[in-house]
Amino acid sequence: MTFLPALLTFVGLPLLLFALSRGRERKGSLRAASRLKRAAWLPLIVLAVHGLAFLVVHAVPGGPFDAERPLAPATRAALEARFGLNESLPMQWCRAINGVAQLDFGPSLAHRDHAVSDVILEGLPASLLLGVGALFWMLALGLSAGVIAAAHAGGHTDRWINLAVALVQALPSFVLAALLLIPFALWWQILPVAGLDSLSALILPSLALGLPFAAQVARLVRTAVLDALSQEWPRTWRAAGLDECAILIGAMRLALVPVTAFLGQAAAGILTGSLVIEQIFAIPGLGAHFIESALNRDFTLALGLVTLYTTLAALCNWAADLLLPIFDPRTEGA
Amino acid sequence: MMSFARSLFLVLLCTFVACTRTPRADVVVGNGPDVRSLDPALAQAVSDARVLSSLFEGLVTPDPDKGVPKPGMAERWEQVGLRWRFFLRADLVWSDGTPISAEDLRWSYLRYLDPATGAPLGDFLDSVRGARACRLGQLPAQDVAIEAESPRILGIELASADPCFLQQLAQFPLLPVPRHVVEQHGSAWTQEEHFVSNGPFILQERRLKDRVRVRKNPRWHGASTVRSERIDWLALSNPSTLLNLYVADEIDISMDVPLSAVPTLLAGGAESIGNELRRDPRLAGYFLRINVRAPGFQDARVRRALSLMVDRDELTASVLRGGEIPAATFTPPNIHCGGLPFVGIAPPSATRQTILALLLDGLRAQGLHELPLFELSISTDPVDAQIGEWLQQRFQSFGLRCRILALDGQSLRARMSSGEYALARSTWIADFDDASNFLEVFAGGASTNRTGWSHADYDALLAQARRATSATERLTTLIAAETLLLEESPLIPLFHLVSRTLVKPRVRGFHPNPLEWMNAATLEVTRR
Repeated sequence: MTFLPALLTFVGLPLLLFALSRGRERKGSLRAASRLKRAAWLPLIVLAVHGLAFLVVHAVPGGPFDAERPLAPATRAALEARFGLNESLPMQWCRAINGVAQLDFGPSLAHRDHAVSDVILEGLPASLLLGVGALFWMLALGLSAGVIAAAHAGGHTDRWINLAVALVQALPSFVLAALLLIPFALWWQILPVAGLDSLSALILPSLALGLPFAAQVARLVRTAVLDALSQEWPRTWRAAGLDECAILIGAMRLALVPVTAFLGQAAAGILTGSLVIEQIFAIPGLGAHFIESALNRDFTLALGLVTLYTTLAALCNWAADLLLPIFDPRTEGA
Repeated sequence: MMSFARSLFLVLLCTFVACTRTPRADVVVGNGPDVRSLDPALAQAVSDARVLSSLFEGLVTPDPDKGVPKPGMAERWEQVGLRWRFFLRADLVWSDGTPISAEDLRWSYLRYLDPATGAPLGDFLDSVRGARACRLGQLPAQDVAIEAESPRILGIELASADPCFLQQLAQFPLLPVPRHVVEQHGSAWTQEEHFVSNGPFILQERRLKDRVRVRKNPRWHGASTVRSERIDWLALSNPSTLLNLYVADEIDISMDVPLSAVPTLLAGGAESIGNELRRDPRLAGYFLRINVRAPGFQDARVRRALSLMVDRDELTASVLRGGEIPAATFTPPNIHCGGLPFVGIAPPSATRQTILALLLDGLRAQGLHELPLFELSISTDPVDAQIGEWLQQRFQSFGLRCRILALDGQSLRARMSSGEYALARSTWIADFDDASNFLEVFAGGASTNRTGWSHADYDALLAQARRATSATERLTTLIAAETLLLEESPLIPLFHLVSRTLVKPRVRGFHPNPLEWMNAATLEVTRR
């Protein structure tokens, strides 16, 4: 078996990107050099996390074929041979990482009718929908609450918003989910209880997932807007005859800097937080697979999902870094 | 290699599909976890069995009401000595119209026995001559005594008499698979686009972590008796979500109810959904395995004393409160033996002094003054934690030192298999209604035993029961075996499980039974 794809992806690609970055640096293009350097780290991060996860899943006791009724030795041997579990661990890891380079994570050991890629392709859209919904609530509720609180700083509205923010941040997501489920889905029955049979079924889970992050955004925005308003420029703007609304919009633009920096972290948090929410609302996403693959020792699925989540989290952080200079040119090339 | 563009396209397509509203099926069943496989040989759980039994029909079909299987693909059968002959119906076809012959069935059974298939429940044909050796990889498949005598007659010869042979033949892993499709598509035959079955329903749609939707199979010989056009088997493993869906009237049957919700539901009165809650005894038990090699547990008196310390009535009434049945015996009270009711003899209860004296005698015989600190291994399930804590307090009240070790299911099984435990929680769910299905678990050398305990007399009694010529002789022999098992106590029976189901009054054709089997063909909803 050739390990060329793995070598190209995890050795060749980072080396190439580092070399290109060095070249850009010499030409004085620091911004492009920084982006290339960050991109070069991405495959290395995936490789490191995959290796670590591989060690962990093989270190815990129990295997994918352990059951209340143990398998006959011949059956176990046949299964281990079929799934390559009879090979040495280094060889298994090399095969797994070679598969990752080709986006082929192998067959699932628990979902016997599916390859890991199929499981991911089937579950990812639901998880992404949930994540996008949560990001929408995070930005829509977080930005508006933060700006309203800042505009009424010290007043009743500000105090109520602060109280709500503290409450939402203090509650675990499963409690929030229950608090949303009971009135909207069980008492008034205006929204579905579970599943993803329609877009309306996405409202409650995305809200439960997005609210804690919206609370964090509201805090960030409120502080940033108040900070911006305390500077010299609002006075200059007022003197130039601009109204309060324009000043608030200007302050909001400055407040987007910490929010953008927070986006990468929030996206990663939303990805991992969805595991619980997906279980509660029976969203056919990847969250339940992630938990069950670990419990069932479905090594291939667990590693496939770890790789996917790592890549997504790294990409989100990378994208946030790219967006930052748009709102704050001072971060250019940093 | 899957190209990035293709992956992206598929993700976008799936996103679109995920957003489209799914119309409701005629009957919606909250079934439990995802079906492990639509290949019957690879399936494992009771929830898998319900879905597969709606898609496939076996040679014989379980009849939980009578205990003895009823005709399935075979319209009748005859037994002469150790030889069985099954006469197939004339109108058997797969859902794609391909006729089914006795040779197809033979091929399907031999595939099930092949170690390369990897059947997790691979021992249901063990009584057939050559079958056990074949599944252990010691005999070629063609030497197994299953033969197609003609396109409509299947002959099977047993190695020795087996009173439970028919019941084993009715098990879901032996449901037939379409040879022509398996040979053409290999392991991909279970994909929606290739799937072919021979039961009352055919596969319409399957979405992981969501549902398996089946629709009526017009080619099934009993199609006129099927009451519903479509059934949804929802793949939901969280009982709280199932309860929410039931309360919101989005499902008709919930096959699980959170244990903690049972008292609240029952307290709701006749007008509440508590009235729709069913708690039917199952053929399943919850018990503790005792590792007889652990320090202090080598003597049967110590193990028996621990068993006597447990007040099962208090456990079920105060801790569980879900209708579980206190277990004085390993076999459940509703089990049979060759059609006769099996009544296990429970050990007499004992006073605190008697228990302590028994414990001390057992310890002295091992040269010990007290039982060393021992571990009680449980799973991470919250109910297990409750049971574990209650047991710990119970043992401590007798002066014993017990530490709880909570592990996930696979780690717990791994520890039990390697003998790294003292006491470990276990469950056993019967495949069919016969006491031997429970008692064989602790046969010496059985892979299910895991306690290190074996007793020549016990094994001899089991062997005698297998050879018994009359049902009464078999019954008395197995009762004696269980009495010996409880005396030796390599296990502590705690309670017998009940199935907690919620069934809407509009559902017809739901027949609760101890094996939690469901005849999907009779299910219907009369009013929406």
